[in-house]
Amino acid sequence: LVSHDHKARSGNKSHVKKSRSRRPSDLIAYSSKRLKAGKPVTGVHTEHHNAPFQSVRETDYKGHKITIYTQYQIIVDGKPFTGHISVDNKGKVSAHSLPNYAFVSAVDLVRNIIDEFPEDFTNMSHHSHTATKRRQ
Amino acid sequence: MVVTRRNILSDSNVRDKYIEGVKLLKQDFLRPDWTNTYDVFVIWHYHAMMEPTPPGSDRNAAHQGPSFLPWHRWFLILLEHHLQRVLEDPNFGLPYWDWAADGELPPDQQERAPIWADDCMGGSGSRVTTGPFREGQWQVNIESRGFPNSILVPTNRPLRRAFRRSANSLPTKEDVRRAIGRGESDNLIYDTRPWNRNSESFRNELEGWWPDAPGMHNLVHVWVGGDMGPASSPNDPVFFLNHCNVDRVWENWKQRYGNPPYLPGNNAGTDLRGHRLNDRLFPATEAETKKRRKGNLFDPIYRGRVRPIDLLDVSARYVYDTF
Repeated sequence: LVSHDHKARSGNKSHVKKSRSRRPSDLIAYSSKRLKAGKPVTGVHTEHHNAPFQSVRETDYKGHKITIYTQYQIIVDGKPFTGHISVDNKGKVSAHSLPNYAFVSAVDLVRNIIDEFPEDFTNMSHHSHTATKRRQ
Repeated sequence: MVVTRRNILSDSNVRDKYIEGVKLLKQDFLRPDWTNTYDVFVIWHYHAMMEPTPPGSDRNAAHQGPSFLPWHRWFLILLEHHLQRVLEDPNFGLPYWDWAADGELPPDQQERAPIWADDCMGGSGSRVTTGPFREGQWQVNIESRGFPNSILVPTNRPLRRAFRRSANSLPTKEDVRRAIGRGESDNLIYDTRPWNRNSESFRNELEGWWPDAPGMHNLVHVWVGGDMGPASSPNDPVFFLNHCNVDRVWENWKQRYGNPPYLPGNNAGTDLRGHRLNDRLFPATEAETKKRRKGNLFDPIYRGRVRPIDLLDVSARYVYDTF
């Protein structure tokens, strides 16, 4: 079993609450068993994203250290869209749902996730609102 | 034995064997309590992508960091090994898709390139209906979902592709020349601070985060779309053709400039654990690794204890037909 200290230390990181998780020693057997039973599997990143994720950018410019904290609160049809959402130094937004993509805005990100995973949103109420809120 | 990795469009025998081999892996089981061997790769890739390094970071065990290239090289070597095993052909070399050649075509012609022909990878669609991976011939058994964000769930459906929905054009030869050509300027570095998707480095350019995202490797995932999009992207056999070409570009860069050093070295901070020269790369299974004396069924080559340093010289394993 592997323990994780979820307190970020340096680099382009994000602050999440200090917690401990356990990874099975045989990820393949663990995942296979759950999938065969019709149960979902979550990765380490997924497990800690019930709360909005805070992305932290750090860079230096002319001897000055710059740190930018960004946190999105995204609501789709009244339900919070939680998970790993990060921003790069050019302001492009990415999420683990589409790990190779980079979007010019969180709105574009959510629109693309709805396009790529329409069945994940089919049972949601259509009279609710979709909203994104950026704290920076 | 040294095998040759060839362009999938230049050798119909290799093409047909690759198609046959991945289908055989869907019917192959290394252990009774594991999913089929092909899907083991899907699960392993998912967990590597969901493993933040360090905890809380955007960088994960196999992406957005220095280990991107060596980790996927290991991934490909093991797929190649298992294809050789099920095909009973130790000379089989994994083919690559030279996507930059297709990127030279006008955007509206790229989706009709030979790679997508009925006798190669087939075409696009919410249910792929052409080629060897069409509905009824290829089943997606597990998938990473969009909402909730990136959980892995069982499914039972045909392969999905969505050419050009989110990207108009594939990377071009000029994109590849520019990335490799940086070695001729003052930027002869494999990777650099901040060791993530903001790095101005060869690794980050080839991965596709810099100078503009999505580029290169990332752009290929985005252009193909569908099952190539989420963390379960090895579900599409095109995944391995893309990464084999990425590995080819890396090998080209290394050989052209006399094997520039892999960075970061061993003296880098612990926040880079999993990415330093002598760090252990993220394995598929700890349990199998512990059985190394008895033999690791999934990884009989490295037995699960693999470091970037172990993957820098592949000359005893494979060569590319051409750069």
